[in-house]
Amino acid sequence: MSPANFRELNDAQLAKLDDEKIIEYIRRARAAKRDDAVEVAARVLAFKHQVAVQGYVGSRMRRFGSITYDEVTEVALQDAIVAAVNFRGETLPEFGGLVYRIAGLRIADYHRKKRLDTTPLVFLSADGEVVWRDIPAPDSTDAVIASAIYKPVFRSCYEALNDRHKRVVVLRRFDDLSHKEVAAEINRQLPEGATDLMTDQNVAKIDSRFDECLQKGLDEAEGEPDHDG
Amino acid sequence: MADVKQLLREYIQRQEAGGDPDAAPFLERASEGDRAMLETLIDGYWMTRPPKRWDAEAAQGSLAARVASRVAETLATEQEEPAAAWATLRHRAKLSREQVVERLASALGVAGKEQKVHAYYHELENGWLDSERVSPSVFESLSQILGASADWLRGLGGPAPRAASPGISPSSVMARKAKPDPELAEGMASPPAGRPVPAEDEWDEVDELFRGG
Repeated sequence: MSPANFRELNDAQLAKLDDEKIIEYIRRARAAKRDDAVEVAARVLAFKHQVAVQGYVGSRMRRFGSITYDEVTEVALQDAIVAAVNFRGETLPEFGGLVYRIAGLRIADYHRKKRLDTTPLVFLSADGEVVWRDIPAPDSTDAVIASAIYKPVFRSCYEALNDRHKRVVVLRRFDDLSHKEVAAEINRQLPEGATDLMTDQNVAKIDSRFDECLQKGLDEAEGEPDHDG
Repeated sequence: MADVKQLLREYIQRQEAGGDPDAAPFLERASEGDRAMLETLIDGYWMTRPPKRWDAEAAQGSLAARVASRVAETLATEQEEPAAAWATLRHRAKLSREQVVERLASALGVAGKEQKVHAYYHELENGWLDSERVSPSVFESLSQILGASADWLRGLGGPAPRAASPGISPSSVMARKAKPDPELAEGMASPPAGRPVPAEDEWDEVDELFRGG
């Protein structure tokens, strides 16, 4: 689409788009030199992820105070949006994964420097890998820094699941439902007449396989240095 | 030692009651063997949170609004012409060109040679310097002063002077020619001023930093 054909959307319309489409919209707005439209779309995207990223960052650096972890959250979200918009490779990494990878690097950098560096520090390689500009990768031999670096274990196990199985994991792990309750909840969302009902046994199997995947990932991560960054 | 499931449940309950997100006290209560699993599950709890529903009123003045403003500024700056981009960076850092030069000279250890640094900095802002020949320490110092990455600042300079042939800055061309080439002079926004063109025996550390390669 040429910049002249840029069609502006309002915040409510943007809120209905998925992350990838919002990023594409920001690219078009930027090409049309519509900074105001870029800002509205970036606000919608950041707002979607704000609470979760704040929680993730806060879980790892709350002890430094809420102002600090809010600042780290801000910079991480900013980095992630700019990196995604500037990405020129073929497959844009999923925005959720990207923002946590960058947040992990920002947290590690904070621990390393004992201050927040607001310099834009990351970009994406053509393969969608996060590249940490200018400074050496965080020292993964330092225990505090190593614990701050993003670990992809959960995300890689979770992203390998289909949507239904993802829902099972969330209900079972984080909403603390029993196998039976999870199965009922999943089946409740099926269209009438559906035959592929979830059973308690199915839930137990998905749950146990997910556990195995996490444990395997953690065992492997323990045996190798961190490469992220 | 409390088990992982119990600790995760307590952590989530605290979140849902509006508590703070610090995971450290919970991780400390886990056995060493369970700590990594608990940490991973706490990560997962945040990563799988449903996206926050759009609320225009709540978004006003929020963290997301601050992020958006900086994103728009960054993306706009990135597509500006170099001279405009440098000016935006200075404006954002609330520094005049003179203040940038003063700090740059100090950071590079060439205090007292501000006039020469100023002339080179002027060339850099106008895209007249071959940034490949500028020392990394110049961009690293500017990165700290202006709050932009050194790589990106180097990219702003471009691989070669815009108004001249590759690898040659207008001032260095003039140094070799008794009379400036009118074709070359055409299209220059303004010639770099204030820095005497160094003869070979006058080449100093400032020249080395900006043109040493």
